[in-house]
Amino acid sequence: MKQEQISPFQLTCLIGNFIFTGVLISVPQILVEISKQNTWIVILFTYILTTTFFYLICRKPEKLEKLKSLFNIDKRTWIKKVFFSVLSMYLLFIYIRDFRAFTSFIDGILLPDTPIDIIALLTTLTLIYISLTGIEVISRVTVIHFITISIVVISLPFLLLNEIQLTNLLPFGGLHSGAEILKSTYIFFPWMTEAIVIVFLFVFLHPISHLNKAGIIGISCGFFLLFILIFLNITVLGVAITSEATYPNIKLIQQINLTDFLDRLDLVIEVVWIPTMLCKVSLLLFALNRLFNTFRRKDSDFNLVPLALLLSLTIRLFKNNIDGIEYSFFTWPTKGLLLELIIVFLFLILKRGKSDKVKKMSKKYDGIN
Amino acid sequence: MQILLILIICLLIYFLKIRKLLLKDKQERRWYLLLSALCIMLAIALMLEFPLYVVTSFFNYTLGEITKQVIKI
Repeated sequence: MKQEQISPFQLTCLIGNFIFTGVLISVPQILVEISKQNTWIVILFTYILTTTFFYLICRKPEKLEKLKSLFNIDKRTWIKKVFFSVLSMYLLFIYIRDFRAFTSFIDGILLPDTPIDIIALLTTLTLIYISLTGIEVISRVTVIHFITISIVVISLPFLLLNEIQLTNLLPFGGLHSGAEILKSTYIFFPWMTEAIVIVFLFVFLHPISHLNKAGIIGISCGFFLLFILIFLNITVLGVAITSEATYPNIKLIQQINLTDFLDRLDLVIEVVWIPTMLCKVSLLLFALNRLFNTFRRKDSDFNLVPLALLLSLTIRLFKNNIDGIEYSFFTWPTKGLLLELIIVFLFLILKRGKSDKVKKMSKKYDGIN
Repeated sequence: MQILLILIICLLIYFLKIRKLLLKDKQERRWYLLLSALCIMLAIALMLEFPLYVVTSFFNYTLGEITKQVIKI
């Protein structure tokens, strides 16, 4: 079977989209509630932490060349099995969380009369259709939609120019601001460190030497777009409204007031956002199916449909929307952080193990010569 | 009931589409049937209003509380 390949630019867009599109649903609310008008500093602080974390995994990408067959069906060591299990669990939890948030959003804002189960099922059918096409098509679709949403987000400050009040950013700092920023970072960091999905994506990248650069540009794009949104949330809506709204960014785009006839521009922007979310969740579904195939030592897509339908029922793992939001705000930071640390640790061991093996082999070879 | 019916229809349509390929591969057929059975069982459990949300509630009470404690500090 021919190995699918993605370019560094596609990887950039996949990473950028992966960390940006899920966060913007409701995470700004809890961040602004904790660190108030200083939330924009949280973005900068978390950016430094996330890139450091990412650099730790991706430095010396030539060493990863040997790990490219990581997800192939060959003999597996116990450490590989543990790594696959933790990675599958991590991706599964992200899928469950994002799928619930996405369907809740559509149910609450766009289609309030449609049962949530039907929305979930229809979304799943769309996801199956995208995921069955493979990583190359997912990347191409993501590139188009990520560029579109980036243009929309970058143009937002201009569209909201008449609503921006820079005084909302004051007072800068404060007595407890340091502690508040650290608390917000604790919540925000695991969300943004989802960029470690690169441990799954690197096997498709060609040439692998661009891994570090592509990943860091992707992370930077995601952070830049989120910075714009958080900045606008504070300056346009203010701390009081942002920390009360369930979907602060929807409130934000509803403030666009260009002319009298463009009063529902928010719907257009939501329509641009929805495909980016579908791209993220379809990538997760693809990854889960791939890992499932690795477990059962089979390389086929036959079971993607029943697997996706099974996952569509996970929306009922949350009693209601509030339960889902509580999970995202409070449970995910701790759970995500733990799983991310384990994944990075195991990946570094795998990377080191492989490179040590290569060194030993080359020494042996030199000795023979 | 509604969701169970739709799921069965989806699985059946897909089965009819790939039946020839599934008949050739015994292992694939086994996995397909296992996942389909799981899917239908979960749908039945939801139809009978089994409290599946206790799993997430458990996480909310344990890991969620840790985060809340961190925020309180």
